[in-house]
Amino acid sequence: MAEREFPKFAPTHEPKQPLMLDIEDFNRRIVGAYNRGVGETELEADLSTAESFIPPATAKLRDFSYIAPEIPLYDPSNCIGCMECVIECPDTAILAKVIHPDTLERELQKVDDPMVREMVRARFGKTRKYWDTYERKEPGSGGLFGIFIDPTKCKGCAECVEQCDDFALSMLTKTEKNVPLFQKAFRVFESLPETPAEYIKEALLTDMMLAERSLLYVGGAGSCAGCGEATAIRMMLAATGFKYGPENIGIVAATGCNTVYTSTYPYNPYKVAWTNSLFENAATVAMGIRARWDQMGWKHKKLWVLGGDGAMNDIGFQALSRMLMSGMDINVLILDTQVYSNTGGQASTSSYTGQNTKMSYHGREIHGKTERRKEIAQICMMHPDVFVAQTTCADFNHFYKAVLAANEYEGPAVINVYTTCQPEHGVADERASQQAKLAKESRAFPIFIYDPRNGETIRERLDLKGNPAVKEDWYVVPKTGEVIDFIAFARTEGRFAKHFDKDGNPSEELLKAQEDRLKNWRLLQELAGLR
Amino acid sequence: MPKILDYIEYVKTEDGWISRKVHDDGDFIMDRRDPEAILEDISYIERGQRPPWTLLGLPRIIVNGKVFRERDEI
Repeated sequence: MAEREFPKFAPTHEPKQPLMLDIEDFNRRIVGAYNRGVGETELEADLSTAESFIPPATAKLRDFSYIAPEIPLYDPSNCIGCMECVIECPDTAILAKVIHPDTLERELQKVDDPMVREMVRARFGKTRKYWDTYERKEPGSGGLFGIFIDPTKCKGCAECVEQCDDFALSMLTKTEKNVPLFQKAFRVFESLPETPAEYIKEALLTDMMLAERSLLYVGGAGSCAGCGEATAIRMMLAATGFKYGPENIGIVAATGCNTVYTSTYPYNPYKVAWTNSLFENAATVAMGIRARWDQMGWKHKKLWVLGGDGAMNDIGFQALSRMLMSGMDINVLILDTQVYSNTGGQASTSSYTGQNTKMSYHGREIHGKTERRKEIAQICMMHPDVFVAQTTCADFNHFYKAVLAANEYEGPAVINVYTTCQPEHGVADERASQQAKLAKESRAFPIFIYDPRNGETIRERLDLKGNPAVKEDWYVVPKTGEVIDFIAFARTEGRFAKHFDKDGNPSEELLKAQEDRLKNWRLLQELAGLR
Repeated sequence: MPKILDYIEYVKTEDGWISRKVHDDGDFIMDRRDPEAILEDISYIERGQRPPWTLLGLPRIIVNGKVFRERDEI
C-alpha cells in the first residue's frame, strides 16, 4: 500500500488550556476529588474533565482497603514460589519479588520503624526455585522470594488462597490495627528494586509477572470480586508486555463489562494506550488504527481487541468477521462469560443450552436457553489463515503460549478465553480458576490451538493438547472413577441449578446440553484427526 | 466459601514441635511444613516475642493450648 500523506493537525483557534492532560493535576485534583466522593459536585467542567481522557494507571490511586472483611495472610515457610497466586489475582493485589539478601538488608536500612523492617524481612523466604537452585550453582547467588498483598487493591475474593496448593495463604479478618500494617508493608515492597533479570527465566512463563514490564494492569478497577475477565486481561498484557514492552501495545475495547470496570472515570487500570468506541465496532476501529500505525512504520506494535461474547459472537460479529478477512495484524481476546454480564445477564449465542439467563429465564414453560451454543473459535478457524486459540486462565501455560503465538503471528489472531462471571454463573468469588478448569475437563469448553503455520490441513493445524483424555468422550478421574461430563460441571453452578430435581437427577434439557457438548467435542476430535 | 484463619497453633510433641493454621473454628487445618521455620518461630516465642512472619496481620497464636498472643496483640 502506498504511503498516504495525512494533513498535520491545525487548530482553528488558540486553545486556552494545553491539549494534553496535565497528569499531575489530574491525579491530584480530579482523582483526589473522586476519592473524596465530591468529584461530580465540586469539579468544574474544564477541558481536562470534559474530554474524558484518563491518564494511564490512575486506578493505582483508588483505595479498596475497607470493602472486604478479609485479606490474605502469607506464610513464607510453606511457599514454593510457583507464582500461581500472583498470576490468577484479578486485581493485581498480590505481587512478588525476588531479591538478593544483601540488597534486602541494604534497602531495609532505609526503613525507620524497626517493626516494619522486621515485618517486611519476614515476608521473604528461601524457596527451592529461587534459592536452592541458584545456591547449588553458585553459592551466594540465591534470591529470597516474597509475596505482598496490596490492601488498597484486594477485594477479598480469596482466589489466591484457592490457587495455593501449598497452604501458604489464608484469609484473615481485617482489623483497624492490621490493615495499616499491610499498607505499610506494601509501600516498602514497592520501594524495593525490581526483581533482577537473572531470577526471571524467560522459558518459565509463570515468572513473567516478576518483571515490571509485565504488570500493565494496576488493579483498582471496578470489576466484581474474583472476576475471571480481569485475570485474562492481566495475563494477556503480562505476556505481551514481557516480550514487546508497554510502549508497543494498544487496546481497542468493545463495550461491555470490560469497558465499564476499566474506564469508570477517573480510574484507569491500564498502563497502555486504550480506546473504546461502541459495542459493535471494536474490530473495525482496530482496522483503522492498524492501518494508521502501519503507515507510521509501527508494524512492530501489538494491537489487541478486547470484547465479551456479546460483543464478538453477537453484536460485533460482522465487524469481527470483516476484520479477520482483512488479513491485518490484529489480535482479539474474547472474554467468553457465556452471557451479557454487564447489562444484567441476558443470554448470548455463547450461552449453554439450558442456561438460566435473562431473556432465557428458567420458568414453567421454557427451561432456560433452548438454542445450542455458538462456537466462535471454530467459526474464526474457517476464515482463511487466522490463528485461533481457545483457552482458560487456569491453564496458564496454555494461555500464555497462545498469547505469545498470537503476537508472533503476522495476521489476524483470535483467542477465546473462558471467563467465569461469578454473579451470572452462580459461583463463589474464589472459583474463577476452578470453574474454568472444570469447564475444560467436562468438554463444556475444550481448549485448543489452531495455528495455520503448522500445515495445510486442519488436522495439522489443530492441537487439542491440554484437554484430559483427548481420545475419549469424557474424562474419568483415575483415583475416584468419577466421570466429568457436562452434567458434572452443571451441578456446580447456580445457572443450571433448576435443572436438577430434589434427588439430583438432571432435566431433559440438561441432557440435551450434554449431547451438544459431546457433539462439539467429537467434532473437534475429528478435525484434529483423533477420530 | 473462603476459610477464615482462626489462629496459628504450635504444639510440642514427642517428635518435636509442629505448627498448624486453624480455620473456621477448627473445621479446616493447614499444616505448616518447614520444621526449620517452625523451630525459628519457637525461638522467638521462647523469648516472649511474636514470630516475625505473624507481625503482618497479627493473628492469634496458641502455644501448647494456651493463648500466647491475642489477635492484634503485638
